[in-house]
Amino acid sequence: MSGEAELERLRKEAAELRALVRELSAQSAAAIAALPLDAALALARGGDASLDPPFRLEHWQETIEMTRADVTAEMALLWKRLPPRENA
Amino acid sequence: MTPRRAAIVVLCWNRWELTCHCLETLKAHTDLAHAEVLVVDNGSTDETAARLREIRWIRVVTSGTNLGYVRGNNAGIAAAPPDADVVLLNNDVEIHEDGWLDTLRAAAHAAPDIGIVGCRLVLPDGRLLHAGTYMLPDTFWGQQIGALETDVNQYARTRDVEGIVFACAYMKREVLAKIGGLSEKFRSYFEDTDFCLRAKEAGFRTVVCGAVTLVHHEHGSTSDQPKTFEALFQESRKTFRGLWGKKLEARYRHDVTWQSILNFPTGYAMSCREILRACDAEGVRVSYEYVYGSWTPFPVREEENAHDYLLNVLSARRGGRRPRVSVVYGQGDVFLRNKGRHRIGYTMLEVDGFPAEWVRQAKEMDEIWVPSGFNRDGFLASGLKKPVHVMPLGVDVDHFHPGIRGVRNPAGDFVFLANFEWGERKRAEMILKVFNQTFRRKEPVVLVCKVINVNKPTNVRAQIEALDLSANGGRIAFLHNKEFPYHQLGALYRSVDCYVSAGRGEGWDMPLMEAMACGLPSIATDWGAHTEFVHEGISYPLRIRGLLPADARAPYYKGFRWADPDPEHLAHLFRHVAEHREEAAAKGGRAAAEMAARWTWEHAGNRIVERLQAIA
Repeated sequence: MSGEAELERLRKEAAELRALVRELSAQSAAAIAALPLDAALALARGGDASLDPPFRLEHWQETIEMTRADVTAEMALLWKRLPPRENA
Repeated sequence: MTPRRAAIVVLCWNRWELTCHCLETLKAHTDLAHAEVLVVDNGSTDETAARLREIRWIRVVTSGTNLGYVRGNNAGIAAAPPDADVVLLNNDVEIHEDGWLDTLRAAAHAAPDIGIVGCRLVLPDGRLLHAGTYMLPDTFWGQQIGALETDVNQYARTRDVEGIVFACAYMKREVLAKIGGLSEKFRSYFEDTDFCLRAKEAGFRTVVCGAVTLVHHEHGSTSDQPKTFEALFQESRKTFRGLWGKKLEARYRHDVTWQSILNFPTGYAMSCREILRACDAEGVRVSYEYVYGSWTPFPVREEENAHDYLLNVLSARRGGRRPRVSVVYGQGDVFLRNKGRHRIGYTMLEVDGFPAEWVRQAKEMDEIWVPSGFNRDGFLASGLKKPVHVMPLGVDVDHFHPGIRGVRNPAGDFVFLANFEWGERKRAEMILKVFNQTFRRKEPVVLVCKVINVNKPTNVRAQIEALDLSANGGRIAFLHNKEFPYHQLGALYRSVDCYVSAGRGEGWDMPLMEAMACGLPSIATDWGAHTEFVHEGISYPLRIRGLLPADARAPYYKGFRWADPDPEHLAHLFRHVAEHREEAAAKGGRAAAEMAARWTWEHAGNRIVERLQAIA
């Protein structure tokens, strides 16, 4: 098979896969829309509502911090408050 | 080859505890096979003389009276072997690095025209104190480069400087043979800059060797006595001005008024600060004026203090009512505030054209500068017929380089960093969602988002929560509205493994360039001004699906287009980089090398000088 034909075949395959993903997404969106709110949220969080979110917002700064932070201290703090790989 | 012998001259006057500590650390960290230590006792009246006599590995030169700093050091230089190099070392300096002398010696002998070598000096509390000096002819008050910055290993390379403080100065014998010792026209202060300038006139360069860092206590024998200090300082300053005033002024070959923005946390302001520094270094006498304020689209008063000595001096200069050349560096709708006889408008934008008002004002300029071919094409497409010159911006490779110390994730996770202002252009929501969907929580991969939100009505927290990111998906950490000192930003980049810039368009993308200069691999949208310096060899270009109408709050974008970055390709690149870390690290290394070789502020300054020469 020539390079061009192979490329064309791959393009076609990619287009089919994209169409398939779109179709599956549409089906899943329709299914989720039909779910009660709690179940939908649990599903969005990975199927287990007891899991922590994959981010933490407790050290949120709503205004720009004018006393400029020290990178070293801030990064050390950031690593400490990183969500764990597995939920504790 | 046998290294050249060096005589380390330590001048002391009382304060034995300082001298003792200096000598102890010197002995502990110095290979004295090719060096000797000469201690000049400058007429001490405490226990110093007796204690020095007890130390066998030093040679003591005794003066019956206090000769002062200059003549005391000259006594040490005169006592050094005539074929030896000389190192002047203050007695309030501590040494904590083995090999410091060999490294300074190697730097001094790396080229025949290097005459004087200084080093990084830090305070005992760890802050940087000195990475060279400069003297402006406006004030004749020598300034230490890097003073009081948190030490993140900035200024780590060997670089040319105007002067150094002589708390530690490696002087090659050739320089001493040609210009003699310190000038005795000075009793104290300014003699170091004077020596470096005399060496320069004799054909020798002064460099700072960033690979050596010593601790300096700054207990100068007169700085503890304010009245003596003030009198000596002013006397030396007057002498220095008489000797060097005209020559320092003559280093300026061009005059420019720079109308811009300086003291705000914006891209134009941050880059303006660097441009001003680069121009001064390249011999352009710049006078800065704030271009915004009343009757402009940004009617805010600018704070006068730039918190930077050089920038404050440049801001205090007056360019006159009708300077010969003036550059307005900012949005194109303030070009008409340009007061020069030769009027230059310097701007950039993130979309594929320029607003009609900008083009109208650009037509009134003599020429337009833009940082990228992307923006030049945008102006031409918008119907501008004036000359448009591509004048790239640059990156500060002293504060952004792979040797900057970061704080690595102790868990060893691979860390992506996205750094942006929250909004439509930067595609924050896409980045978060794609990352969260691409990885599983249990994987050792993290995305750090440094987010700034200046738009009060926008509730970023609520918007993130509304994304309903999967708890089993990739983990994300936020730094929200944290401003870091600019000199420390390199430490942020060196704390992560890959930089992500997946926005719709950029006018330059300084953070991307800084991350690349720090040696990070990057994922960057393959469209916009930054394609000037980003390519596949040093980055991972993110495919776009096409161009879209630029719908955003910014009025300047209306009617133009920007890119539609491909989320599927972003997912692929996230995964690819995380799974090909060595390949990615190699790209990062090549990126750092290319930034240092082609895209520094020195390059940008040179380009401005070339253009000013063409205009002259």
